[in-house]
Amino acid sequence: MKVLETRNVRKIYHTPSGEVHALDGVSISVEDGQFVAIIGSSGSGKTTLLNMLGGLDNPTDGVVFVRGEDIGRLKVDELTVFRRRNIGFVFQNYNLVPVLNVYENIMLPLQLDGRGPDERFFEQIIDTLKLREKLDSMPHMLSGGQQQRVAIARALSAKPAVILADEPTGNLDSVTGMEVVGLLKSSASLLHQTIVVVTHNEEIAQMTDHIIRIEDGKVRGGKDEE
Amino acid sequence: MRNNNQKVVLCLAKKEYRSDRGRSIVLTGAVAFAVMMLFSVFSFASGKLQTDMLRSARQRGAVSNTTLERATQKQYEQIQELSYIRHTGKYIQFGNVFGNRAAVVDDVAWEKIKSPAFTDIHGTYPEGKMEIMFPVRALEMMGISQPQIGMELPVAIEFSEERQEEFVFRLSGYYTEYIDTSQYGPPDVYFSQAFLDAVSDGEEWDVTLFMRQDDRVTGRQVEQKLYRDIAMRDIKQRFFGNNTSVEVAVFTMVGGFDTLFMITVVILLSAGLLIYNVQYIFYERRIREYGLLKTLGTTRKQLCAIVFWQTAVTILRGSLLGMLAGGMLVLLVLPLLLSRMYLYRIGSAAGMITFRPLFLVLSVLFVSCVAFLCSALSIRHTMNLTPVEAANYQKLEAAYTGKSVYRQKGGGFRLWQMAWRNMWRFRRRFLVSAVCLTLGLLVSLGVVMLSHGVDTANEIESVYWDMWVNSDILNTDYYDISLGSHRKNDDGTITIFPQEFLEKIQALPGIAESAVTRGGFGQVKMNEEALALFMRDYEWPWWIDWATFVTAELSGEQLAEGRNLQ
Ligand SMILES: Nc1ncnc2c1ncn2[C@@H]1O[C@H](COP(=O)(O)OP(=O)(O)OP(=O)(O)O)[C@@H](O)[C@H]1O
Ligand SMILES: [Mg+2]
Repeated sequence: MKVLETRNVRKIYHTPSGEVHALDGVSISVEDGQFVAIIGSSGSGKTTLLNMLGGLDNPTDGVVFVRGEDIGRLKVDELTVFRRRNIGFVFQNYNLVPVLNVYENIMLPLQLDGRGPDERFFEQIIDTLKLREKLDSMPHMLSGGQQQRVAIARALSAKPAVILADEPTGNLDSVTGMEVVGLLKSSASLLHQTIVVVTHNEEIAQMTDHIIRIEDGKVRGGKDEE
Repeated sequence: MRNNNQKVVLCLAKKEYRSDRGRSIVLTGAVAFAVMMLFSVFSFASGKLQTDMLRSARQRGAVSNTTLERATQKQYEQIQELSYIRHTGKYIQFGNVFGNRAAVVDDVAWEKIKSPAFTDIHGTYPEGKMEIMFPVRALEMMGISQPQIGMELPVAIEFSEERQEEFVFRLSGYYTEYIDTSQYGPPDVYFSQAFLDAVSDGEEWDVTLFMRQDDRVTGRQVEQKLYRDIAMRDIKQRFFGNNTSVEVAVFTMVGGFDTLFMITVVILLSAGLLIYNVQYIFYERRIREYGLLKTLGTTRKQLCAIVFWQTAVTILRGSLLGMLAGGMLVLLVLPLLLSRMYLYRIGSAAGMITFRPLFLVLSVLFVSCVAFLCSALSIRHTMNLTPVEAANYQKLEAAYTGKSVYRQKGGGFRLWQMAWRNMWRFRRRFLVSAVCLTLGLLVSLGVVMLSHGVDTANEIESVYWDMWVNSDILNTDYYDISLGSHRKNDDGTITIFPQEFLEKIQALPGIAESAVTRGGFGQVKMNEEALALFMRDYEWPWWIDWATFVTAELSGEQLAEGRNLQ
């Protein structure tokens, strides 16, 4: 079953120096339970694609399906609720709500949805992400890598069907990075989650089930599958 | 929406609010300032209006504005039917008493038209035949400085040139008036209807109707309406419509009702814009955060709860603060200002400057409405942005401060280009700031103008010279040439106010200031001690007016006494 699908998605940004075709007719699909990597050079459109998949931005053209739902047709609040129940995000930067401490940040999506946490799962997550000492800290007291780990914990704790992560290991040393990816992978297989990560790290890319290569807003080859 | 947890939302709202103390202080301050400004401006204006109204009524010695002389009973009854006339009272002047008018008024005229313009009313309006009511000023002229209700007073009444009679009356009351006698004539000494009936001998007295019109009807309008609705007795009979005190007051303050309206709009607008601008600036800073919250699953309703909770707290605190500050300003500072400024010499106006809770409630209501409206607008704006747009909003901000994410390629762009682009990009904020600034200036200018225009001290100074000397060349023979106000020269020409004369006057004790208007009249100003000197023990015939009296005495013995006093 296709969990994520884009059909001929285009995104054009209008800037003072002209139009930027960030995505130029992208059609991809991700199967249920897959762990997928998006790779490509800087500025190639990876983040833009991820945003489209998460319904964080409107495509100029084309449609996006998440779990069979055409998210372009949802109303603002419907999309919001759909997102918080189905998708977890880890962004490249500015991930955490600055006024909430680590624990509150991790719990926010669950609480916004009126759900309680799964204690055992929560414990497991914070141990793996080495966040136990930091639960009371405020985001501005954390390093970039720590912030990213909090964001990952937050994305996992709500047990969404889909996790979209934009360079989740970008600020981490290679050991921790590999551990984090390991966690994502085991969580995915345990909870049957679909995970899409944007990465520059070839090693990480090689750990995934499928690689989508993007160049200048277009999908290249697609034969890189292992 | 389904299954929303309001607890986390409230917690978020509180934490968010507390996280930025600077913001909450500025927002609260803006609300407090706006409430205080609105409340005190409107209290001040209304206090000023009331005081001006009181002032003009007191100077006229009546709160009525329109009169009809020689009115018939039929006209009286017809006028009472009219919707735009609030009160109609009858007034009969049947003679003079010590230079005051001897008058009888009916209940309405006394209660609704005359007495509101007086203060310190002791006793009651004369009921019994031999009862009388005096203005304190007249009593003082008669040498009675401490009147007692019930005291016997011999009073000579001049019914006409031929008929003068003396009676002994019982003082039923006395009052203090502030009539500007140079414009509105002398005050009234009141008698009972019974007395008038007894001395009338069947004579029909002319009845003057005093009418108090609706506050919003101008003098001209009321005249037109009256001529339309009431048949005149003959061509000589006329209505005299004056503008109401309200209109006169509004006019003296700002120049008319339309300006008053405009000024009100400007003041409201500036208060509203202040709130808007401050909220907008802080909102822009938070768009990114709102975007993140939305990404993480905050619905419109939840965002509303967050923003409105914060707005409510801001309004609550700001309003309390503003109410406190405004209340203090209005209760402590305004009375001082107002009474010093315009009730100088026209009686106390302590009752005029009151704390009006309605104004406070309206100010708070207005500010709250604006604040909530702005919050609602900011929510709508956030909701219309996608999370990515919200995140990028900050980038524009960054571009504004120079840390541009989208820096122009190539180094060749100039500063003014950037400035122009930024101004254009932020045109809304730019415009709002410009308008805000302009309005701010306007309001402060208005306040300066108001407080200066309000200061009628100068007007009082110039209008109320204590004494003037008139040199009437046409009547040189009639006026006492020994006064020296003019001199026949040897060649037959006349010098008016020769220098020696002026010097002589200026050298007199008690003369504080003097001015000469050539071709018109000279004015001499004296302080009250000097006046008291001349007024002492003097019984004064009603046909002699002040200035003549004082001037006549200038060269007399009393001046010598004055000199000795010094
Ligand atoms: N809000 C925006 N306005 C204008 N152009 C944009 C905007 N966001 C992205 N772009 C442009 O779209 C293109 C794709 O950007 P995107 O962020 O998707 O790249 P990326 O592959 O994620 O790069 P990186 O690896 O550096 O994160 C870039 O050329 C970028 O300049
Ligand atoms: Mg990116």
